[in-house]
Amino acid sequence: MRKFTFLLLCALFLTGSMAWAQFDRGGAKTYESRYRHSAFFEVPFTTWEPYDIALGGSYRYVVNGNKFLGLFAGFQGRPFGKKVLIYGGNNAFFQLKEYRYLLSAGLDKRWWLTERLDFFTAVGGGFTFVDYRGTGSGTYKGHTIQKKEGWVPVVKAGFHYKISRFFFARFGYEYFDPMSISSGHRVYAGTGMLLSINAFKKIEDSF
Amino acid sequence: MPLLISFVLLLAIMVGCQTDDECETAPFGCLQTAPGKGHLHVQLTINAANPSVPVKVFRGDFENNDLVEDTVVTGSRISFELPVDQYYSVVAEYLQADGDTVFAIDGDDIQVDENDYCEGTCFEVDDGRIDVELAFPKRSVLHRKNP
Repeated sequence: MRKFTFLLLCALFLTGSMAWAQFDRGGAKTYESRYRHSAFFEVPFTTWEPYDIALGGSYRYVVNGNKFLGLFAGFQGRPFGKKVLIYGGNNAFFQLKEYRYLLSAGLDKRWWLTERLDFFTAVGGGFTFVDYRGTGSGTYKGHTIQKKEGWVPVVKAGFHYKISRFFFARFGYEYFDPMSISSGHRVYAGTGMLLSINAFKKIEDSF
Repeated sequence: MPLLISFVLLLAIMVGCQTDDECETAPFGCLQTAPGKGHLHVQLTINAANPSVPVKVFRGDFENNDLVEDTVVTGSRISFELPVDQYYSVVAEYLQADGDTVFAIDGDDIQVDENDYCEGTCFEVDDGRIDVELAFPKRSVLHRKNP
């Protein structure tokens, strides 16, 4: 319940802030309105115990360029089996190697600080699911493995730096409840590009 | 400068001479027939509460109940010789000091890799590796006891 209250507050903040006028720094509104599609490669990770890392990607569509408001959808997954502990009832636990995945979607908003740098927040929800090594979700000696899967809130915030007209980098914070051993608070790093013909031409020219 | 040009030319000739038809010599100890068995290496925890650990090996996921090995292990490593091209799961059963039980589960497959050389195909077994060592201190166990 606390998580959803937090999510609701974030959403209110995000929508409420849309009423604030933003200075059209460096033609940012034109830029947002003209280039509506972008894609990101993302790496959320922890540098503290329990160590964790995920690899993923997301797509962003600009809904309203004048208000810097976008929609995002993404997928991420842990690329290795991490040991987790799950209660199996009657004083028994399962220690499993877990591959965790997250499918998410939501709204995001950007606040331009300079011509190249902006602060962004993203709020949404997602479905997290798992794959355990050595088992689907079986019963062993009367104890059943209950897969830790379900709907979770997703929050991201940080700085977005425009490296060039087509390419950018992101760094900040991400939260989603992985429903098992780690806390869900992560460092978020990513890189992205506009999905425009000009951007692809730029890549082609560099080879 | 002439030395550099000579080096680049030499490199170009060497690269240019290589064709797709060239092949590598087979390594020493090349297996020319596909092996039928490989090893499943299992790592586990032996401590004061668990001087011996019951270990079960299943073909496929454990819930399929296709048991292939059932033993009690007293060392921290054990290997099982098993048929290749199969996925195996292992369940190790640990007791905690307060009477709780932890079933550590992991799975891996034993595969045969094929590599082509001048002398023919060499086969190599890619053994399975299982890690069912205990990973969590007791506080984590208590934290998740009543989720």
